[in-house]
Amino acid sequence: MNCPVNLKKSDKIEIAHGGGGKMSENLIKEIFIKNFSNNILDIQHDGAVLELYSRRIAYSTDSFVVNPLFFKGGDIGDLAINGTVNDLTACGAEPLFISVGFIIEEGFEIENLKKIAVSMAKAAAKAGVSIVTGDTKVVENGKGDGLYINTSGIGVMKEHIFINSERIKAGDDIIITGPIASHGMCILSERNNLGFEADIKSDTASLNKMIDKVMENIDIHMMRDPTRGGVASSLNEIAEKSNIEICLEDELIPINKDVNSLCELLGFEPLCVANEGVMILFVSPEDSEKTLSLLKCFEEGKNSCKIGTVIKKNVAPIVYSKTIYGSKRVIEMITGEQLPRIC
Amino acid sequence: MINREFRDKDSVLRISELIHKKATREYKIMEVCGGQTHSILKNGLNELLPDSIELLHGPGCPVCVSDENKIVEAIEIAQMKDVILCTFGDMIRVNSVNGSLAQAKSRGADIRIVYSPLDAVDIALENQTKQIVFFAIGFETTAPIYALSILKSKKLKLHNFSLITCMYRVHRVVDYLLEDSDFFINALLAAGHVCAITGYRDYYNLATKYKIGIATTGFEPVDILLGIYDCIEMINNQKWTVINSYKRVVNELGNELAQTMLNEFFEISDQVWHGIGNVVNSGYSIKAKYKEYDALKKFSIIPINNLIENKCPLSDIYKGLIKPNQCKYFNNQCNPTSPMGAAMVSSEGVCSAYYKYNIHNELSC
Repeated sequence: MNCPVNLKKSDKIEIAHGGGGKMSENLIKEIFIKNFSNNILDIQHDGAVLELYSRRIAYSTDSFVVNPLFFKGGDIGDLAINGTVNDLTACGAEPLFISVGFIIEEGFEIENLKKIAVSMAKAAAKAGVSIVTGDTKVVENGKGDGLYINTSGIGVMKEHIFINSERIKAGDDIIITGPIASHGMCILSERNNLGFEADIKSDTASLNKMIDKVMENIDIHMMRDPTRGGVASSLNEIAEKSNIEICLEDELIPINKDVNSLCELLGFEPLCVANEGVMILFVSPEDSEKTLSLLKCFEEGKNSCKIGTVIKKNVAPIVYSKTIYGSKRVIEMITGEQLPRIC
Repeated sequence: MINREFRDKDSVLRISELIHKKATREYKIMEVCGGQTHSILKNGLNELLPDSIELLHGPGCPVCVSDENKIVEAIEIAQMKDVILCTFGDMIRVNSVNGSLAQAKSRGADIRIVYSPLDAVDIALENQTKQIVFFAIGFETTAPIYALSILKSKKLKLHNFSLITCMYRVHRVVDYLLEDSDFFINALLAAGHVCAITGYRDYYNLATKYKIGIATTGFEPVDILLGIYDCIEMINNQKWTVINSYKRVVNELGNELAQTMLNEFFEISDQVWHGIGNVVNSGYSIKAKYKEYDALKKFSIIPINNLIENKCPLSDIYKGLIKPNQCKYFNNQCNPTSPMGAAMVSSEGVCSAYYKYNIHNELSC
């Protein structure tokens, strides 16, 4: 019978190529990794860990194209600082120095740029990082979308800290530091085209101080900052890298009620929605309780909880979740974008 | 997680237990709606049923059944000068011989994802120098809102809003599938949201004609298991009738206001179902007196009617001859980044559901 044949393969970039799911992954593999491949890049962590004069340095970069620029709980400025701080943190580093690149569209309100700079300065002070270098470019009216920001950051790796998916062991507990999906659903609800209002705040926050406290006391095996593509993408990437089977429990996954309702209304899987202020940690089960009590001392971690376990290692990678009824469902990485321009 | 009344664990497990007690023979039950298929797999409800109950996944995903020739037409219109094509997000990645709407967008066509056709009317109001075309796919559930979009556009005296219609009637296609002697089921979970609009009077005929039990069924775990339970009762008692298992939403006569709206703007017409073929009287098209809202007429597009030979065996899946994960293309040539059929990419698509929630792997916990 008739069925759309896949005769046309994309020859142009589609929005979904930037969605943090399978299409992004393929693009990165087929174009960037293929051309830039080296043993540091190929690890594909949130940032790179470099050996420089016998010190280990973490280095990471991220670009921010969020629309709208101002949203409940933050703006593109603090998002850009927190995003890079958290990427460095996920490598197990102490973030120290940040660079900032602005691409500003002609006609952009200077007042708004001031507001954004103030919130960047505040976010940097809170995270204890210094903005040490930068660049400003202005593009003609209509050639940008108000403002894009790129940040990169350098951090110093702590002695004896090795965050690496290969260190994950069967039996490890998987901990998340806060409720999921808040950032993605906040941005969506701010776009004014839903016909209703939702009072959802982005979770954007720097997590380095909190994670630092945990690292002082606990041997964290692996960490990930589940931004675009959400928890589902992060866990699937980790499962694939380390050939593990991950079992989550639906009942344990923290999500705010309003966020969950909006996800349901619009048919989004919360596990695939972006976060900007939560971290996923893999720790030995005997360290689980202590990790949670350390996390809970911080505002950003007060709702930390265990969401699942690593069942087996050296198996075909898979992530699934136990439903509240005891049955199971596979948690797949998203394919395209659930939402464009969220960070 | 939020624990609502219709997801209540104890209720689900209790109904599951009752189903196990009542299930004394083999049962083949088809859930019509793609939303039900997803809910079944997302909540692992199939694991809570005895092996003697086989669930067949029906043709109730609007994106999956949409005629891909309409995508070709939509792309043709979207690429015209000063046209904004609006669509639901699910449709954007479905492929056709001329590629997908996402690809047309990447080539520069102004294609926008909206949540409601009424948003497209707002876009028409704000962009009166442009033509706004909505890609109107869907069942009886969505058709009334398309009617409303025409009404709104008419009230606003807009002359720049039109629809590419690809609307389907569920009851008619179920009847068509059941006519096929290859296809056998004992019972049907009628799609609750479609019945909310149409009511379920017409289903009595299907029940007696094909000797099946029919339960109008909702989408939450408790709703679906209740529908299955009612079907089993009907089958056990050889009672070929309709039970309303979704009383909080559905009544026998349906939503009469929505029906009036639908009948004002649309008329019943033949429609091509992707994976099934042309089915007489199975769709809706815009009435001649409202032809200015019919995008194909407005842009003088000659409707494409060629059926494309393809290896995607979607109709075999609807008929329960194979499960999606038994299809030889599943997760090989056909996957969400490179779909052979819309069922692999739509959020309600049966193959997408299998891919997402239930694939091939043995789970150990």
